[in-house]
Amino acid sequence: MLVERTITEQMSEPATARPDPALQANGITVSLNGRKLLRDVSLSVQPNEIMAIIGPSGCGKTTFLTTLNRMIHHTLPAATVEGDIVLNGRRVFPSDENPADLRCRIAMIFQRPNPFPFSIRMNMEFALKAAGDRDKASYPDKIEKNLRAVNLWDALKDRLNDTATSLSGGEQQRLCIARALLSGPDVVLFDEPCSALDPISSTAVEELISELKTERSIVIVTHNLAQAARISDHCAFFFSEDGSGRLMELGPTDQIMNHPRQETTRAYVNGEVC
Amino acid sequence: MGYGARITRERMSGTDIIVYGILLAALALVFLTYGKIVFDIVMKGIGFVDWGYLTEDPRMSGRAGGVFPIIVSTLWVLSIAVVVAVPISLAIAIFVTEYLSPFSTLSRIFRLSMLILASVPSIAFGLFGATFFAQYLGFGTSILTGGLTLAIMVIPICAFAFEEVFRLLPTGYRNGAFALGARKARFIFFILIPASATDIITVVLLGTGRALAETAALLFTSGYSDRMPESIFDPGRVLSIHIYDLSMGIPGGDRMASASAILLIGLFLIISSVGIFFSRKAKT
Amino acid sequence: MTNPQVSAAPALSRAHRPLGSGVTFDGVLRVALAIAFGFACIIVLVVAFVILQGAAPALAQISWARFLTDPDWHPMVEMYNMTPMLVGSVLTSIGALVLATPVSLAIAAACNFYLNPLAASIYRRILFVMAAMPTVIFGFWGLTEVVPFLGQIKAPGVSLLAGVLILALMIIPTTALLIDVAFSKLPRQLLNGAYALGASRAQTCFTMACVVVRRAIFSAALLGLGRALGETIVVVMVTGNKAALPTSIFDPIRTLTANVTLEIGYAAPLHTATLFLSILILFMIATGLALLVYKLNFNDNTQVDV
Repeated sequence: MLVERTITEQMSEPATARPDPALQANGITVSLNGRKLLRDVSLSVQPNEIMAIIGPSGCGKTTFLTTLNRMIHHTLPAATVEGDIVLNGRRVFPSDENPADLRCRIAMIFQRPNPFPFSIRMNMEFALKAAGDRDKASYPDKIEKNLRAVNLWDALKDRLNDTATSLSGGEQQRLCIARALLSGPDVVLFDEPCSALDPISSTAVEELISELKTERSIVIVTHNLAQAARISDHCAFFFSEDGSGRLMELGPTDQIMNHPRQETTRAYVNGEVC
Repeated sequence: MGYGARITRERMSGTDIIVYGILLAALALVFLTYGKIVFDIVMKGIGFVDWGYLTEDPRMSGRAGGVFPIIVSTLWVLSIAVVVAVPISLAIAIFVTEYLSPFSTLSRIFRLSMLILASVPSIAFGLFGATFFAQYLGFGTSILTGGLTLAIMVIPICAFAFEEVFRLLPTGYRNGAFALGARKARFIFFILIPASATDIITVVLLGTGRALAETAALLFTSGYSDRMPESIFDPGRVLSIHIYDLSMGIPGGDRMASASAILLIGLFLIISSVGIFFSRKAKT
Repeated sequence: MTNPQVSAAPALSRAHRPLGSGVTFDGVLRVALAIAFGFACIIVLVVAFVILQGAAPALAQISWARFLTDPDWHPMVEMYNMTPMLVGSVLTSIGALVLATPVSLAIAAACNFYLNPLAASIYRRILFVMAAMPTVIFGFWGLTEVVPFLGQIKAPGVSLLAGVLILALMIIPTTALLIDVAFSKLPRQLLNGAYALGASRAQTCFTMACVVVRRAIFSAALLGLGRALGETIVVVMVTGNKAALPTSIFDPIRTLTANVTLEIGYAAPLHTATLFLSILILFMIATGLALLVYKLNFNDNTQVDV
């Protein structure tokens, strides 16, 4: 059975460049106890781009983000999701695949850094094991490579056995990013990753996000319009209508920030609606 | 509790001082009574507690000699109760917190049945154990029967407490683990249980203390025999029953009962204080 | 659970290979945990069933009225009047409750509104330990210290009063801690609001806080009542175990639980069944109290420690 599956994988894996888009969500509608939190959202993310999701509080940005890697099963267990999600040309929702496997390919970083209360090394090893990596001999190399990718290796290489919760907030968040990268995700979702950090750590994480897009796609929810303007290639503006979040406008960041087509978008980026 | 410090700096009004006096009197009365209980027992029995008392067999129905077989039986009964009750109640609590919504019908059934089980008189468990384990399952009056009966009594206490511990796990750990692609089993064994380890130890000790404190349920299940048990299928007398039997059934057994009571209180205080030491609530 | 044919098999799922055809460790774990959960839910029914079965002969062969109207409790000669034991159980537990509730309330109030936080936390620690103290210790102390003392006032010393006093001492920590938890969960704004109106501490505590947490006080009292009603060893040791109606608080009495402990060793089958019946009655009372506590605390979907 295992062999069969490997063959299927190889056959379905596209041989050359990825077909665009990397991630595509079609007609996503999320309802909770009869109320629609999100209505009919469709958007696609190209390879190696940063898509920022902006909009006032309570318009379903985070809900949308959690549907992309199906974390919504844990954060809002009672919610039902309609629509479909395609990752690199393969439908991942609805799908019989275990959502846990999907989360290795679409990683997620949360608002508050959430390292486990174990050592830094154990945090990293947990991620490798969760992603199904059984090659224990390669763990140290992978840990080093990924901590280097988030610019933490030099600071932490002698302290890998320290408790992760003893790090500063910014370091914790970068550790969480390193941890999420271990499974080699195609897409990384960020849910306001800088909102709980001080300005200096915030800048470091922001720069890191810009670097990460060279190898993968990124979707970031942010309240900080200046941040969205600095790092994103495309922007999606969500707005709440009759209690349901909707995608109002989608376009290149420059267009959304400076020449929005919709009146509500213009009002929001000019700080007239919050 | 922070407001306490703030309030005490204010001056108290006349009624407040009178009420304070009454409350303090109640507080002191209860405190002194508990102190006197421990003091009386210690003064009466301390002269009999020595190395010989701990290591010898009882003679003349316990009027002389030691309590070694009784200590052994007590530890056996406790071990069986804990070894059976802890994994079961851990499993129950994990199922309730990880697989059920707190407001689902099954959760309600769980809470109600645990609440009933926790309020049922212990003597009811004694009769249940004597009928079910001793007769139906054929374990007879034995350490095994006593341990299993105690396990049934301790399960609701531990399951409730474990459930509370698991619900207090920060959501970040949960989200972090699942977002990394962890399956439920990995989350449970590598995040949930290790991150709650100290609280789990506290709950286990709480359950052990509860089992140690029990007398009525063991009267009909683990028996009176003060001989050294050779296996868990032998009857064995636990410390609390030894105290009960000496003070009620044996004329002149009071002093030796005091000595056993010192042992029981000592064992109980050790278990409780280790439990308090490990509890997260106590540290913060 | 996952069907490998359909699941579009992402590259990283290799560690999660099924144990057999479609069976994963996750699935096995889920089933094992569900079995434990099912066990937890039915165990109370099993216990109830076993006791009911034990009581069945008595229910079948002796009419209900006889438990109240027979001339006396003499199972050897088929006289089954349980009234003295019922009265004994009710009097000791109600007496203990009446004594323990105000004292517990006073302790909880002092810990939350008067004592400084360090003293309060030490006192709580003591109560926490005493709440779980082996009851045989209370019984033994009552037998060796309280009973002789009461005997000096009015013989024989073993009495309803001794039972009430010791049971009250035994349940005070439980009820006091439950009320204390309710007080300490009160929102701070509520207390600040009362103080800002110029209320004294006594007014804040007894006219405002106590009213807000009245359900918790009531359920603490119920749980204390349940403990007192179900207690066996203490009452056997200090109440004298005389199966007769008391005329004063200095008379010895016998409770249902004591009755079972004393007689089950030598009881004939029908006699044993009546003893099971008396435990069945206590079981039902305890279930009733638990249902009441559940209604009071869990109905509004809020968690309360029990």
